Amino acid sequence: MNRRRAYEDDGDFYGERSRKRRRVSENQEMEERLETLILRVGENSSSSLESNLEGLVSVLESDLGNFRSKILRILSECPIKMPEKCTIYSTMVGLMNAKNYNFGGEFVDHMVKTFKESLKQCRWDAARYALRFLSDLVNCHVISTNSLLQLLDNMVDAANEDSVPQVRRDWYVFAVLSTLPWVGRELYEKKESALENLLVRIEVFLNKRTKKHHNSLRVWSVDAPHPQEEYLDCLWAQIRKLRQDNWAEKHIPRPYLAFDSVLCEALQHNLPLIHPPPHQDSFEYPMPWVVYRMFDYTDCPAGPILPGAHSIERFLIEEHLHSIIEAHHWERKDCAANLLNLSYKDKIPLEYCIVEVIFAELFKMPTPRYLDICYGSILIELCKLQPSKMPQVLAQATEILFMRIDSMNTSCFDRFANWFSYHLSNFQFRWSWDDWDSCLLLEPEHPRPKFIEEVLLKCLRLSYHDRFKEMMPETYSKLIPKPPMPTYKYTMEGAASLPGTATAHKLVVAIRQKCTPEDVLNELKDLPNPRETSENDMVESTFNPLKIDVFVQTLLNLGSKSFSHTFAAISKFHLVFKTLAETEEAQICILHNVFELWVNHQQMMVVIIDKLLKTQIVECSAVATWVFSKEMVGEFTKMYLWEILHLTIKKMNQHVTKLSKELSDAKERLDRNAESSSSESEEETAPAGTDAVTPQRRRKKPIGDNADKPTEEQVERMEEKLEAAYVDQKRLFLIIFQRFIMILSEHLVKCDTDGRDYDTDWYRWTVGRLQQVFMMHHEQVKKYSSTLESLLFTSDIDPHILDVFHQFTALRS
Amino acid sequence: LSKYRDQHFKGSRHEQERLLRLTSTLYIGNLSFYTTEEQIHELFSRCGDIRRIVMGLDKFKKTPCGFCFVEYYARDDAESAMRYINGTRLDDRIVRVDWDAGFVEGRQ
Repeated sequence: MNRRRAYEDDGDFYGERSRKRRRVSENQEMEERLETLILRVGENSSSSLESNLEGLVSVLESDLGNFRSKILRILSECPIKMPEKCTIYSTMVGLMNAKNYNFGGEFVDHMVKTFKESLKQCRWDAARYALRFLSDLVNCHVISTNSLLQLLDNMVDAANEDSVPQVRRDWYVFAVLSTLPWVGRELYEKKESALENLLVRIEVFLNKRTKKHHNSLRVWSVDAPHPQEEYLDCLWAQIRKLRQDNWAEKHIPRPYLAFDSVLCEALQHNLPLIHPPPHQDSFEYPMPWVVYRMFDYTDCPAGPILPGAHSIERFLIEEHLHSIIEAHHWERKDCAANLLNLSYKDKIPLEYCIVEVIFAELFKMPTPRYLDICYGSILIELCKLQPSKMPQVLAQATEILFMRIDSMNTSCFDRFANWFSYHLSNFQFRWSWDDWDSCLLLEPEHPRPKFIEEVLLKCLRLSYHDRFKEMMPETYSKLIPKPPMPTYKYTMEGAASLPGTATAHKLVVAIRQKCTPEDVLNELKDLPNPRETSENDMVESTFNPLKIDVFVQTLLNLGSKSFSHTFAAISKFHLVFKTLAETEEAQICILHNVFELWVNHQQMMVVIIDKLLKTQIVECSAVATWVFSKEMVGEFTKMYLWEILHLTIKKMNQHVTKLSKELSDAKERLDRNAESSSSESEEETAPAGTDAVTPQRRRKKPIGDNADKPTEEQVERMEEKLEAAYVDQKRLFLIIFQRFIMILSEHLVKCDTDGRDYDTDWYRWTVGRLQQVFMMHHEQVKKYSSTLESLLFTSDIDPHILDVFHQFTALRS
Repeated sequence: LSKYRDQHFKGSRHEQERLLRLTSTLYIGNLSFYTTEEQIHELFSRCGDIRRIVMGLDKFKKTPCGFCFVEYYARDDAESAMRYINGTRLDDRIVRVDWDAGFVEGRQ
């Protein structure tokens, strides 16, 4: 019953049905009824699937005269939109074909067209599901075995093309391999040698493949207890195992087997010759991935046995669960219900499979499909629906993740900490912390105590400090965050000797009396510049660190009551900030004073810096330089600092994306107007819309458009602006990568000369953060790959660092 | 769209519906009186960049009284919050998230 909702945004497929109903003709109503029947076949019903299929087929048969094209369309869309129901629809088409050979032929043509279109439009999953459906039609005697083999062979040919990206070749092999669970048995029975030949060609291809990308996509760097396999290698192993078992698999329901006597009489069609569309530079292919594994059968001792990592069932179950998440990620309750209702649920330890698949998505590299919180909220929903099992499985999973955290990559570490704190906040922060207290003996930079520390900091943000007293065992006192209060030095003991104290106190009074920004600048005027008294009289800039110090700390301390107070203070004295923050050095100084005041309140630092960026008081490059500055060395491995860096990069990226969209819109309008002036009449004769648009209003519209029309000059200016933004963006990435290279090289050289092991906790965190910048912003960074290669990641830097870059470029090669 | 409507909305029902379809502002209800802007920010920023949070204040005492408005820059982010946060917990209370036609000064 929830199926309908999931596809709501598919336009005419389902949309707005109820509103339309009253106005539609009888014919349309009939069409809609047919559609519903087809969509819902295979859902729970009182009669058997077989009899439902038979009934539906005879209904469709009698309606073919009137609704031929509609039926063709729905039947070809369903197996693509609901790939898990592939065999139900292939059975239907098989039965239709047995009754009406011509319809079968038309359907095959239609499906082939859909398949080719998907390939051309780079809709890779749709293409794969279409191919799977075509293969399954072989099982239903609709399509001849030979012609399918020919198609599969052509696809492997595409995988053997030269001078095309490996990701393209990979996809063609993946598509072929992933149809074999459906049609392998049939091919094996009818054309064994041709199938063997196909497999040999695939094996040759796989042996030649490069797997440079593999390491950057792994969740864990070590292969114990479970290897993190590259997806094609894993699927190949699963297919090989399937072949050993004579292509018998136990997961796919095959309703057509019940109709064998009807179907085997049917005449088959030949697929036309299909050539994959040649590669174009604009084509984007799926990136490779690594198969996520955290459980094996020993983890789930009670109940049914978990299929092994190389059994094809594991692949099929996972694919099925992923596609449920895809279809329902927008409705967490439906999503949880559908996951728990998997058709195969009694034969597998379902809760383990679900938890593994959800963590697979959450930890997916380079980025998860959906927001982190989407997975978090689905897990909460699952716990609510299955309170007797799900929370235990989830706790066991958390335990496993924590035990394997030593080799977890940094991006996943962050996602894990964010998820876990969020999850705890939904369950009264209850956790058996005592189980983990042995970690308190480890070095503080070790991933385990680090994880606990970061989780507690996140928990603090979602709750309040007093809560920790009830929440945590006493042994954890050293990891409990400090109360998130400002540390305002001008009222602390010994403040009298500080050079700015007197001014700071005057400033407090002035701001309390609602003074203007000019008044503030006046108050600050007399502060001496510590830089001028020393040796560098030569400095021409007006940058005065003491002014910034007194102003920033005093103002933010006065606004410390809440985010709102702070934001109000920043916007009221925006002018003062702008005056003081003229140079990048001054901007870094502002950031540093934010840090000094709010050292115990990370979240406050994050939002203040976000505000300073939005109000253009500091620039992105200043934040990047500050993150790597000497003053921040002690904070360098803490999560919040990277939260700040990534929000800064995102801001830059959004800016570039916005400008480039504005430009392309403007260009489009310019082109459209050039055309429409010659063909104005077209708009006039357009079919009358449902709204009653008066003729005058319609005639007016093109004129209105012309008023919006940008001039060539405006477009040129937009181009310049975008160009400048690209320069800024490139510069930001260059700064960040250059700093990484500097500190990492320094560390490696120093360890080398001292004869120490370079592989320290600090080193791992830092390399992890470098990887994270590549991964999180891969869409944007890829534009600068060649610049980075020629300027920074050159052959003379340390191979450890260079390797991170090469792994990144291998993602799309 | 949900059942919640601002009772003091000035304008026609139709106008209100239209605004609700475009808005990126959410009304958040059933908060504890002690829940702070900081906590709300932490939870809701998991769905996207927040433009501002306006805490609901008691008319006389000027203290928080269990609701607030969260305004996002993007409609999509507000939609995510509707989907993923509505009905989950903050400060041990199940928060209620609804569309709001946009905050006007004085409504808190």
